[in-house]
Amino acid sequence: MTAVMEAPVTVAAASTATRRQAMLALTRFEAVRMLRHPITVAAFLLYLGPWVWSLTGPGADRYPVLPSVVVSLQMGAMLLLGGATLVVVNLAVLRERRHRTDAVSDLLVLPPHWRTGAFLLAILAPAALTLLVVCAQVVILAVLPGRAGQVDVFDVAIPAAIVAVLGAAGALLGQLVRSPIVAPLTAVLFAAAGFVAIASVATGTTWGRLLPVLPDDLPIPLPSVLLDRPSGRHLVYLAGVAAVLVVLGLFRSGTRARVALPALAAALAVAVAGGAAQLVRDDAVLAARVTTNDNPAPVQTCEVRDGVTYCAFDDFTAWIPAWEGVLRDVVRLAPPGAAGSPPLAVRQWVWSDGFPVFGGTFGPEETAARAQAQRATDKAAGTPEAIPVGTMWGDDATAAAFASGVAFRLVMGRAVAGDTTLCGARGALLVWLAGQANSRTAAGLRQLDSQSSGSLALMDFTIDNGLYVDDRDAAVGLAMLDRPAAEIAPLVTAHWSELTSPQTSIEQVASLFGVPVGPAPDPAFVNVGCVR
Amino acid sequence: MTAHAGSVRGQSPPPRRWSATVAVAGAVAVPVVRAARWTPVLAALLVGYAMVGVPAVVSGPSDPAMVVLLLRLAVLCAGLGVGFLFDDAGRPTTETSPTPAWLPLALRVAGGGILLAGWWWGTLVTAGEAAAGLLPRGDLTLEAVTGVMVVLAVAALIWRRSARGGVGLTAAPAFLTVVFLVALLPDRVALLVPLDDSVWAAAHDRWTLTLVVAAAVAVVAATWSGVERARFRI
Repeated sequence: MTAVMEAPVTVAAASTATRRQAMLALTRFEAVRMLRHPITVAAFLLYLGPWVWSLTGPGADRYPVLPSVVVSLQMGAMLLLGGATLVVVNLAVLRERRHRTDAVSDLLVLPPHWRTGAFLLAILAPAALTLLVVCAQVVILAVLPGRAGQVDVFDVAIPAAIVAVLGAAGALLGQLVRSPIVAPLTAVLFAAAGFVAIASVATGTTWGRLLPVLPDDLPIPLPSVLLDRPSGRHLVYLAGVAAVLVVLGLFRSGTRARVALPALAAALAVAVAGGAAQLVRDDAVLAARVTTNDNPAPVQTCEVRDGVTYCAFDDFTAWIPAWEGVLRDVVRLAPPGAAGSPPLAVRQWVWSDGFPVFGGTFGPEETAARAQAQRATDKAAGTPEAIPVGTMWGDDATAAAFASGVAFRLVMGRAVAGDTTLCGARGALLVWLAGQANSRTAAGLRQLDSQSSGSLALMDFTIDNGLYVDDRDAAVGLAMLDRPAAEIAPLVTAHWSELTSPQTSIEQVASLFGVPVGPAPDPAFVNVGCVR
Repeated sequence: MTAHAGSVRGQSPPPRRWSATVAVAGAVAVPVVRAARWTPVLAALLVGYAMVGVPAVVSGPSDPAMVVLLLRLAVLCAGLGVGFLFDDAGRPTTETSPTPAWLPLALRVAGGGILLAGWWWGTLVTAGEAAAGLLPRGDLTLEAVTGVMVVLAVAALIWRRSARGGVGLTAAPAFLTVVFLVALLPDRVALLVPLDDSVWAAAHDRWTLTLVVAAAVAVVAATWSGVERARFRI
């Protein structure tokens, strides 16, 4: 009798071990199949290809702001790697049904929920590959000499968690709806939600954080002291969501309710707690954004190079040599001593409060107040009339905008502040200085010219300043750029005081340099905003 | 029967008679349309409509540029479903029938085309009401037709190689890959341009070209039976 009682126990023990072995064998098999599935391979190629091109192609961005780049990597991971894993896992779960072999599988040693467990474990393979790839990307970016910002370890782990969540969703969908159309449609829905979340940033809503990605709440790069990114809490939320999906999948395929329901409750608790915790805004950071918008000096590091003071946010100091290069290239074109006093300075600004989203309106009062705040900050910090520069760098247009800021300082003797429109000889001279500095600023100037209408807008959209040059005067400056620099540069140096005088008309400039000038506008349409 | 007798006597086979093809088409139209896999197509069209319809209800009038993006996502959803029109579980049994293989396929695609046209009309009307401004309906329809035609071309290429009739399964991810590649196109040859962009008109010339190429690929892939091999004759 005892022998009969004991026998099933030993069989059961052996069978659990066998089942575990069989499950792990199936996991290995499915993991390899998932990794070498054509969709996975295509997704990783599509994910990495453009990124490699952005680093090595012409006009490559060598000055990444790490937190911003990590967000775009998360978005790409959700769209491509997550979407691919969703479809691949779904296809794997549906494979037996597709080939009408599900009845055969029921004869095997593994009960359905163990098989589901194997599929779910296999998702760790694409997730691990994602972690590896994203880590490699971040390391490559972090060793670039021009990188700015600090990277959060949790942010690097989020793409892998996204892949795990979407993979678990694919497995669950395969068990709920036995149609292969559901997985690609779900992937597209996630893409749409991601676009909406990115488009709705800066409206003050935080619901986008409930998506697998953790979007930024301002569409411009911010220094790390102003970042409100609860990446750790978001990772907990993703882990909770993945656990919920896993438990639901196991429950659906036959795990006993006695085990599944407590596990589901625990997973739901983690997901809800993490999801709720990440929605809480960090009030200290929001307050810091308001004060830093008006006075960034307390959180900046200043460096004097070659008699010029450069003040940058603590984690953006790697950009100072690049700014210095452009500044030198512009100063070289002006006669010695053109800067006058006070000595040249550069200060980084960030539009961290009141960034315009979807048609914000700004009157001249706000602009004037803004200019006043900028002057006060610069004066108090000991760098009066500092040239403003924003939190983006590395592309041609930004270089051209900064070069024109430097040129404005040289031509006008003061820094750009608020909205400023420059006309006449000084406008043409500014355009020439900005475009002649180096090849990047030249390319950027042409780009800004093709984007603007009415006036040439020399804007860096990460700062709350606008520098415009009247189109007719800008056209003369652009025509001067088409002439050989060896002819124009000596004339500019020789006639500097004339060219920087508000009395000099654009016709005089055109005849001095022998370039055409457009007909004078109707007095009714003349640009009234010109700065004196 | 007479044609068969003709080949027996060693004469050249009579020219294909289009009236016979039409008669066959009429006979098989209803069974073919009934046998097609409509569930994935309908699911895709439903989700596609929701892409435009849900934001229209939830957020009221929105930026036309945003509506254009949503319409493109709707076409993407519809495209994922269109490939399933090619699914034909009975393919191994119909391969030996004298009807050309493209004929039932063309009938199914035509049925799907009617459904898609109605869906697009409804989606466009909803989008027009949701947009705070005029939408370029003609250009957007061109994009939609081209998108569907690209799916048809991709699906027809897969269909040629599929012995057992499972096409949509492969066509859907393949179409997603094509869309990602198109989204990566450099500005010079971009297709998915934002609404009020200066290159909108030029981009739509490229859409027309894409439509022509995709239609040609679809037709050739569906009808061309390879280099004629020497037929075995009695």
